[in-house]
Amino acid sequence: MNFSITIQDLAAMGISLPADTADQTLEEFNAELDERIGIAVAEMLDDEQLEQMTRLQKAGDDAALTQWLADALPDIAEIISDERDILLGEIADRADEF
Amino acid sequence: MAIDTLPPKADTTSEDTPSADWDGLAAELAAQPAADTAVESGEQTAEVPESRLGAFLRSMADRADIKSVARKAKREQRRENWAQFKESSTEAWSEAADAVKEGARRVGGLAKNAAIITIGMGVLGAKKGSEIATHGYQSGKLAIESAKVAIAEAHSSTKESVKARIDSFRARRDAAKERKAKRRETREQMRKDQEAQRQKIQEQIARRRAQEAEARRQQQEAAKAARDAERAARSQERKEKINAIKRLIGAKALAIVTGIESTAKQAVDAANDKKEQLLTAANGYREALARRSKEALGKARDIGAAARAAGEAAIKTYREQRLYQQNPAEKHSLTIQQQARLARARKKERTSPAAKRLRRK
Repeated sequence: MNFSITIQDLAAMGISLPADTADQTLEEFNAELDERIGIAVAEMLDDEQLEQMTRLQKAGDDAALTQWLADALPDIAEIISDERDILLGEIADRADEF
Repeated sequence: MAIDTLPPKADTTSEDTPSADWDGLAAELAAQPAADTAVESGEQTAEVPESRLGAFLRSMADRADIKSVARKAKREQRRENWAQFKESSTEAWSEAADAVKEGARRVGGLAKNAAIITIGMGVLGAKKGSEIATHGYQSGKLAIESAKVAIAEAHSSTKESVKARIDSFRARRDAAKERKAKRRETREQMRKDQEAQRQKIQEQIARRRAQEAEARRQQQEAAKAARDAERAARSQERKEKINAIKRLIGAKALAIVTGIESTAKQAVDAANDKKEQLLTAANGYREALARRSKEALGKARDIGAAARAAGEAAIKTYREQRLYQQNPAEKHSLTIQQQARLARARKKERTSPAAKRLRRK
């Protein structure tokens, strides 16, 4: 499942970005999305779980981190999808400004 | 918002697509019925109103149809001329000439009629073409209008579609926010439950610890009471033992003191006896001294000194024994030297001649 914001998502809102700024704008949207997902995930974890996650992040084992997140937050996919929908909704509100 | 995907906006003012010539042609066609009538009625070609179309058609007829008819007539004429020439007669020539004239006239008429018919057909064709063109023009205009309407509708449809999709994004956003809020609320409730459970467990642990502490305290108190009781019992037993010892010691001490007193008395008596004996001896020695040598006098002095020492020792021992009798618990307060002296005195008492005499008695 793709959790990134794509040019097709923007086109569906009638947003046509100039070719020279499209990539940068998409990158900014996705960076914002990553930040929101991080905050949402952190909100759902208690202090002990946060420490465990931080240790796994520092260890650099992405597979272990992914498995750990799936175990700690069974609804992680829904959390990420909701954050994406919320951000897309906010972009849709401002579609006329683009 | 830019709608780049839409086709370039059509120039709806470009109604000159059919070109201005068509308008002129239509005007000519409108004025054409009179000319058509004239052609169809078989009037002279010259009587057909001049127009660009007429001139064009006529020119075409002149150059094509009329020439063709003329060539045909010419060939016919040559054939007839050749047939009549073969007859080789003047009359024939004259008739032939007449025939040629007639033929020429007829050919001319035919040619004229053919030209008129051709022109008429051309005019009709042109009229029909004009009608078709007019119809095409109208159809084109309608098509353009339809296209304009279609473009506008497409534009509108695109706008509505985009608006619908934006509304969809907003709806999904609202739904996602609701789910997020519900998740957060559930999580918060779960944390509260966990906290309450943790507090409950802590309270249970605290209660259990308090109970354990109370049990330990009671156990310690019981142990302490037992120890105190045991200590008291031991103390009582010790006191009893001590008292028994005291009693025993007291009895022994009494006996000892009594013995000592008796021994001391005997010793004193013995000492007194000894003294008397010694005095008697001393008197004897003194008398002898008077009679005998200094040596005998010194010996008597030594004996006197020994007797005196023995008496003092006996008195001292007696005092110590007395003191012990008065306070047996203070036995241990005697110095080692005192105790040693006491022991020596006792031994001496036991081994003294007086004691031996007493035991013999």
